[in-house]
Order: sequence, then C-alpha cells, then structure tokens
Amino acid sequence: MEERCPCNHLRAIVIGSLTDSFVRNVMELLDNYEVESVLCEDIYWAVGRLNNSDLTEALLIGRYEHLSGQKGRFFEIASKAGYVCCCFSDSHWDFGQEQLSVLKSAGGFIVNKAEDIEKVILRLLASDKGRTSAKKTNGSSFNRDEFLTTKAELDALLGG
Amino acid sequence: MKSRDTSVLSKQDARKVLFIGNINQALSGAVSISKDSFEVRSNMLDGIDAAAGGDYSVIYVVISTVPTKLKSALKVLRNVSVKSRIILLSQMYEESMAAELAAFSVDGLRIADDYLICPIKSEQLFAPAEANYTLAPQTSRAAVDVDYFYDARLMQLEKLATTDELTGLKNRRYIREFARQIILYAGKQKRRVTLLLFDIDNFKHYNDVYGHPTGDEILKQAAVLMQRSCRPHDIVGRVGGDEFAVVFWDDPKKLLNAQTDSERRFTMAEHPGEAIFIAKRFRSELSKAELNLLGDEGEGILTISGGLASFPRDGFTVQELFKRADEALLEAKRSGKNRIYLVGQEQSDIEDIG
Repeated sequence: MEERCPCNHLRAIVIGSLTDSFVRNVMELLDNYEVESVLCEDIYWAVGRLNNSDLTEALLIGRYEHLSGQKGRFFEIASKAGYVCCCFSDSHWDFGQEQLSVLKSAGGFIVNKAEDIEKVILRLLASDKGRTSAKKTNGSSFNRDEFLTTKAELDALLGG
Repeated sequence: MKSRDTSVLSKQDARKVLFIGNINQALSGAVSISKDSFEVRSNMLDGIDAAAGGDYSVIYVVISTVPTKLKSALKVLRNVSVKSRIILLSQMYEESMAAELAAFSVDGLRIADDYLICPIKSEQLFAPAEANYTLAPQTSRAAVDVDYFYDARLMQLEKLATTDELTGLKNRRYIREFARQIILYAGKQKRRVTLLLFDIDNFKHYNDVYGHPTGDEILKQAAVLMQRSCRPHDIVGRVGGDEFAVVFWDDPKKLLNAQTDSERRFTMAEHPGEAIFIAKRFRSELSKAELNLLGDEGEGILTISGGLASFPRDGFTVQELFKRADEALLEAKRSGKNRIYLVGQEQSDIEDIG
C-alpha cells in the first residue's frame, strides 16, 4: 500500500551510503511519501545536521551498527534534539547491552525487516496528520506504543 | 612592516574554548582551568553537537578520541564551526597523522588549523584565545605580520628543541620522550617496541686523524644510511657524539593496510626480528659506503657496534630499555666491535646477531 500524503512537518535523516541497497530503498520510500530527507554518511554528519533543522518531528534511520557507536551516545543526542532513532538490523549483530539500553531510554527501536521501515514512516505520517500546530513540540509526539512489537523485541533483547 | 589589514581580523568578545577528548591524557600537570570560558566534551559526537550550538574561538581535539572516521568527523567539525581555530592534539607517534590532517583541505577549507604534541600545559590551551583578535581561518598568514612571524618562530623553536642540528635526526630529548610514549601505547595495545643503540667504531680516531669536519660528514652519512634502512615510521635519532638510537614500533594503521606478505613483513615487526634485519642491512650499507673524505681507505672501513633491547621482553620502561641496550652495546665493543648484540632474559644471554 502506498499512500501519497504531502507532509509539512515530518523530516528524516538517513545515515549510510548509497552503495547500500537498504539506504537506497529507504531514500526511495521517503521520496515516495514526500518526506523531506537528507542523507548523511555517518553519525558525525548527522549530529552536524541536528542543530540545523527546525523540525517538529524527525526520524533518524540507519543500520544499527552505524548508529550505535560511542556506546550509543548518538541515540541520546538525537533524542535530545527531538529525533526518533529507527535502527535497522538484518543480521545477527552483537547489539551490546549498553547501547541497547541507551536506545531504549532514548525512545528508539530496532526493526529487522526492510518492509517495517515503511510501516514506521506510515505511522509517523499518520500521527503527524493529527497534529494541528506546526510548532515544534517538546520531544516526540507520536505514540511509541504503536511499535509494541519492536519494543517487545527490544525488551526481550535487553532481558527485561 | 605591512600595515595590518583589519578586514581579516575580528574583535573577539567571547574567547570560549572547547576541548574534545580526555583532557587528563593531553595535559601535563594538574588541570586548573576556569570553567567560565572553557568547556570539555569527552567524545567527538558531543563535541560536534556543542560546536554546532556554540561560538568558540578555539576548539582542541585529541586525535585518539576518534578511533575511526577521524577525517570525516573533522570535516563536520569544520563545517559547523567555520570561524573557530581547530587545533589537533596528538601523541608523538601520531604526529605524522596530525600533520597530514592539518594540511588536508576540503573545498579550500582546512579541516584543522594546526596541531600540538602532547603533553601540553594548561596555559598553552588559552594562548591562542588570549589575543585581542581572532585570525579568520584560511586567511593568508602573511596578511597579519605578528601572527605569521610568531608562528614561524614557534615552529623554528620547536624544531630546534627536537632535532639534531648536524644530522637532521631527532635528538636525545625527542627520542626518550617518544620511546616513553610509545611504550605506554604499546603496553595498552599489547604490541612491542625495540630500541637499537649504536655508535661508530673508532670514531674518535677519524676525528683526530681527518679532522672534525670529516667526522661531521661521517655522522651525516651514517644518519642518511640508517634512515634509508629503516621503515618510514621508525624514529631515528642522534643521542650522543657518535651515538645513535632507533625506536622500532608497529604503526597499527600500516598493519591494517598491508595487503601482501612483503608489506606485512615491512610493517609488522616481529620484535626484535625485524629490527635485527634492519640493523644488519644498515651495517651492510655502511660497509659499502664510499667515503672519499677518508681517502683511499674510505671504502668499507666504517663499522658500528650496537645493542638491541625490546619491550616488554627486556624492560618495561624507557630507562630500563636504554640501560639494557647500552649494556649490550658495551658488550659488543668489549667483544671486538663491528657487531650488534641482542639482550636476552639474562645478561649472559647476550647474542651476537652478526
């Protein structure tokens, strides 16, 4: 299902390289849903962008191994800036308890199927449509409980 | 003196300094800095975040803070803080990398303005920020005479402080400090370091018979030959009249990039195997060197005596390594010169490597 809904508020930062098919697919998805997005080659570039944006809702998408560096510090910085981190992992990866805890505390999550990224985007767009004000809110306004499946998996990974 | 072009200067009201990295690692002595104008971030992500939101006159970056993608991180830092001076702080064994980064430009903009070798003193951190003006980055330094000559003098002084004037090699001070730092690094990384001490046999004789200018030429040629024999990242120094030292160490970046067996052999020192190989090669080169200034007898007469000691096998500190290598050197001389001895676990295990 593809919904074409113009979005005034939702923005996305994708982290990775266009040589990665996952990144290409995500950029194409965001383009299809008319979500304004930028591509950053690594978390340093992404952090450099965070302060540049005047966003109401923003999504960070990238492979878990690329986002979880420096013991997950990136997740905390992103969360402070009002972003939601959506990490993708399609392989067995040593997630690291510390990084996972930080991701969870920062309100982020992991998806392990590429098609789940589309679900994330759709849900964010749906929550974005319900908002009346274009002004920036404190923290993210979308309902993270909608991602119970991935949240449950995250909790399972954390053993709690 | 040219008049100062005020268009390249801007009055600096807030002389804030941002420090990115482990400050205790970079500074010598106690850290006592006012927090009013000095901020610290322990990692590069937070550093970039702070730089993007702040207005810093100087940003210091400890190179080892960023284990991977350092160049990318510095590009971002430069991108978000165009008006700041970015100074890299490196250990001695990272100097070549620091110099390379400081010379690197993207779209005409250097990603770092300069570098300093650790440890540095607290007051040095504020030196650039205490000026009454800020030099806009990338501006031709010749446009502002004071800074230009100050930097040139500083570079000259630094060079004099670490370089042997006659041979151009590193001096004793540099060698000992480098060895101290690289041993600390090797200890953490579980790598090895080998120290070679050698001197030219019968050097006093050459000085007495042929004169000091000839003696100086011999030293210079020995220096050149030794440098050619060593790997580019090994440190060669002159530590005494006719005494030289070489610090053999494993550059991890070169190890990672090695593709072929010969490259791996070139980069990976099977301590002290590789050092022995290089020392033998040097002796061979020296024996073939034609020294016309020594007359008809100039070919093949120069020999050396040397001593090798490795960390951690033969010692755990720079003092211990120098002591053991020196003992091996003395033993080589007592045994007839023209040989290099390797220290074993026991004094009696000193081995002639040929």
